[in-house]
Amino acid sequence: MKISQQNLAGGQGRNFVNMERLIVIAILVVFFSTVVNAFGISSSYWRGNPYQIPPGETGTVGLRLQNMGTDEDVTVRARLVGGGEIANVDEKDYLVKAGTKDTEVLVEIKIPETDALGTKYVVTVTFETLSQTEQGVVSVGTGIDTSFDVLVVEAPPASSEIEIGTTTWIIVAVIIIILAIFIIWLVRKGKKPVRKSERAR
Amino acid sequence: MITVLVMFFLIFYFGNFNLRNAITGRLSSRETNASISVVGVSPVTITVFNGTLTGATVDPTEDSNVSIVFYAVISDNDGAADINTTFVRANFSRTGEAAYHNNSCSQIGANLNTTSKNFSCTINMPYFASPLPWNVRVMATDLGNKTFFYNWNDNSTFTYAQLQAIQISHTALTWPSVAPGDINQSSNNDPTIINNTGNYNITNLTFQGFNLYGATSFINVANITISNSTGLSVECNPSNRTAGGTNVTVSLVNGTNVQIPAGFILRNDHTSNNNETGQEALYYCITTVPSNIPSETYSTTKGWVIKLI
Repeated sequence: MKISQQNLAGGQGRNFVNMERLIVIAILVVFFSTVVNAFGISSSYWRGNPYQIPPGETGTVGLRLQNMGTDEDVTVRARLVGGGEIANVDEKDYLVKAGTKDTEVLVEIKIPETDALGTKYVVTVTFETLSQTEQGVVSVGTGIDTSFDVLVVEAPPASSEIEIGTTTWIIVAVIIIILAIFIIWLVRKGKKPVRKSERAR
Repeated sequence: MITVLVMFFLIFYFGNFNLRNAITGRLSSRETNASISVVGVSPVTITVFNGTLTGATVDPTEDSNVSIVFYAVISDNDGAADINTTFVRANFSRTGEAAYHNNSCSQIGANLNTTSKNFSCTINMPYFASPLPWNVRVMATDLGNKTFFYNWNDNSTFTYAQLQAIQISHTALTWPSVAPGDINQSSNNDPTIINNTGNYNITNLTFQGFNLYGATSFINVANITISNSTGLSVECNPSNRTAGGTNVTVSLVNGTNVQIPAGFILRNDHTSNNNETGQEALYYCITTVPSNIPSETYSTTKGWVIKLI
C-alpha cells in the first residue's frame, strides 16, 4: 500500500487540504494473494462425537487436510492450542497439493492410567495457510481451529479369552485324533490273523 | 370282436372330435399359441455389504460431491433368474435430513450362484450433508413383483465425517482516491465472499489484521472496519448495532482475532450466491486516513487471516 503526500510551500491561508485532494492520489490497495483461498479439514471425531479410549492407553486421531477448491498448492501450519495434557501433534508446515484430500496430520492421544472413566478432554489444533508477503501487498489467508472430544471409557474385553477358546478346541481335536488312532490300532490288533501252527494246537 | 373294439377305440380317441363332443357335449377346440410365465413365490432377500463402506467413515469433498460405491447381494430361493435386475434401488437416509438416491443399481458380472446376483450402487453425497451415521437402504423385487421393502433387518450404516472448510474469493480490495486525513472511505470493490464449503455449521468467524508498517511510520489497523452489511456507510460506523444489540460493524485490532459480525454460516449449498445461504459477505472501510504519514510503501510481515473457530 502506498500513500503519497506533497508538501506545498507557503502558508498564505490557502486551503491546503483541497489542494492536496486535487493533486494527491493515494490508492489504497489490499491484495488478496490469490483469486481464491480455500482449504478444509475432515475428521472422524468432533465436539459431541468423541474419540473413546481407556485409561493408560495411547491412540492416534488423524485430521485430513483438503485442497480441492483451488488450482494451487497451499502450505498449512499446524499448532496444538488445546488439550496439551493428553495430546501431541507434530507442529510444522504441511504442504497440501491442489486437488488432494489425503494429507494427514496425526494427533497422538495418551491417557493417564489414573484417569477416571467418563473423564472428558477437548483437543484443539489450529491450522493457518501461509501467505506470501511482499512490499505493497497485504495478503489474506484462511485459518481453521478444529476441536474434538476425547472420552475416557472402559477397556473392551480382553481378546485373550477368545484365544483360549480357540486353543481349547485345538486340544480337543488332537485328543480325538489320538483316540481315533488308538481305537483303530486296537481294532486291527484284534483282527490279527492266527498262524496255522497256533490253529493246529 | 377284439378288432372291432380296437377300431372303435381308435376312431373314438383319434377321430373327429366333433363326433366325440357331440357325444360328451364338450366344446370344440383348436390349436393356439400360449405362453406361461412361471414366477417364484419366494421374495428376494437383500444383503448389503462393502468392506469399505459399512461401518466405515467417508470424507466429504469440499465444495463438491463424493461418489460413494457399495455392493448388495440380492438372493431369491426361486433362482437368480427370478430377480428383477431392472428394479434394484438404494438410498442413504437419516432422520431429519433429505435422502440421497440411486434408482438404478447395476448388476456386476455373472450370477454369484444359482440363487444370487451382485449389484453395485453409487450415490453422490454433497459436501454439506450432515455428518454422523447414515442408513444404507436397498430395495429389490423379483419378477413376481413380491417387493421386499428395503433391508430393514440389518444395521448397514456408514459415517459421513465432519468437514470444516471455507473458501474466500477476491482478487484485490481497493478504495477510491483518498487523501491523508480523509474519513469513512468505503472500499469500492468489496465484498469479500466467504463460502462454507463443508458440512460444519460455522458459528464463529474471526478476522485477524496486523498494522501496516513503512520505513518510518505505520498505519494502525484499527483504522479499518469490517461489516456484513453495506449502504449508508454502515461498514464505517463501529457503533452500529442491530435491534437486538448485536454489532454490525467492528474495528480490527492488531494481531487479534476479532469476531466478524453475524459470523455464522450454516452448512448449505452456497451456489445460490445470495450472500446468505451457505455464504457471507464482508465489507470494508477506512474510518480515518492518517494525516501525518509520509509517502512510502506500507506493508505487513504477517498476512491477515479469516478464521473459522
